[in-house]
Amino acid sequence: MLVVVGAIVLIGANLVILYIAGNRYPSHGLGRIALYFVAPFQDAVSVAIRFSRGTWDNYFALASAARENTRLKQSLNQAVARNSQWREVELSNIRLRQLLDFKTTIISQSVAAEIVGRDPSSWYQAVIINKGSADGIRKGLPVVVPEGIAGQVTDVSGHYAKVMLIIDRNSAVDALVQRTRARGIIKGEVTGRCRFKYVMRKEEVAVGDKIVASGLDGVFPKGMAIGDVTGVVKRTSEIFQEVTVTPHVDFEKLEEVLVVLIPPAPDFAEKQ
Amino acid sequence: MTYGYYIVVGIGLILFQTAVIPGIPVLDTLFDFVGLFVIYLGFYRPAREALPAVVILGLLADNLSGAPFMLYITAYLWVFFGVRVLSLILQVSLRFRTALIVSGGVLIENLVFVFAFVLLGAGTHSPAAATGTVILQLAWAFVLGPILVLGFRGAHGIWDRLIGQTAGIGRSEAK
Repeated sequence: MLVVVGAIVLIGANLVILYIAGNRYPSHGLGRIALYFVAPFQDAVSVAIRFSRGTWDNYFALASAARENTRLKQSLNQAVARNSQWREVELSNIRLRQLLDFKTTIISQSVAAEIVGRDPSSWYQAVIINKGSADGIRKGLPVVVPEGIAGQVTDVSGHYAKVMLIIDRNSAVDALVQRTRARGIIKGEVTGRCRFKYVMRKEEVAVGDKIVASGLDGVFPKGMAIGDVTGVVKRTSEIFQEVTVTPHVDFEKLEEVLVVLIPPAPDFAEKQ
Repeated sequence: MTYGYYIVVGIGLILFQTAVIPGIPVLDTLFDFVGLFVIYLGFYRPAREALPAVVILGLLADNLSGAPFMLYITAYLWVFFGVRVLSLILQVSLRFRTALIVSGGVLIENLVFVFAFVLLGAGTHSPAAATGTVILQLAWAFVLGPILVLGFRGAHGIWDRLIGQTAGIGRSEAK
């Protein structure tokens, strides 16, 4: 009897601790110990693996390099001709951009980082990158790749940072359907896909529609690609429709990312 | 000396789990290797000696994971005590005893995670979608788990002998 009561008390206490701890990011020192002590080793192991893989790939690549070289020389001749035409287009593009007073592109305000470690669990989706506060990285900054949004910085040490990917179940991105401007929240799923939540049933969403960031969360730049709609279920009894989104980013093969150095919304930063 | 073994193996397993395995897609469905080490600690080592190691391993895993803070510490403590209870319940003569205890430990860890999913307001789809992952992990644990746990035990013995010899040489040189 005593054991049962003890177990119930223990489970109850455990639930309370997890509930409290789970509702906020670990902004205290305890939450960063591994970023200081383990991440450098992760970095070294990742570099060693990349080097070995590169050496292995290069060795096998040599065999087909000669054939490819001939083919590439032919392509190069064609490309040189096309390049001179595009140079003209590029120059006119620069003039037009200046005319429209375009802001600096995202790429010039970002820091490139390599992924050195991944989440030890398959239940959550976070990665460790090899850039930290010394490189201007702060908690809350958006992380992107050319294909679209990858995640958000959730913890930072001097030279490393933890990034929560958008396929993590704790992640949330305010988003729009590009075609119809229907608004909702992109949430991660265990399956590696995302769910586009809180989209009213009356809104028009179809398979193949592109989902982009709305910019209203004050974190992700407006218009950044997120993914494509791959499933829509409209139930008559529900207010919202069920929309499944496949991200553009291949998170399995993610190796490098860009951390966008734009300030997050003030209230978000304060909540950390 | 024993703590030296725990530190080397623990950090080695964390590095293997976070930096090596992600590059090998086939191994993605494997169980948590650090969790397996906790199972070894719960099965073979005295609580007073192993508990600090369990808490520190949980803390490190919590730091590197996107999971709510303290989830890994919680999960590892439940695994540690669960394995100790299982080793008392299951008879020594039972066939596949080690495999059952290891699978039990992996199941406890996964149950804590599923529980956290539900408790902390995950989508209703998440636990169902994760069932396949849990089954795969249990299958791997049943087959590979006992071999690895015995490997940890063997390596611990070798470590103790090597350290003992080194200490012995040091003492005799001092004399």
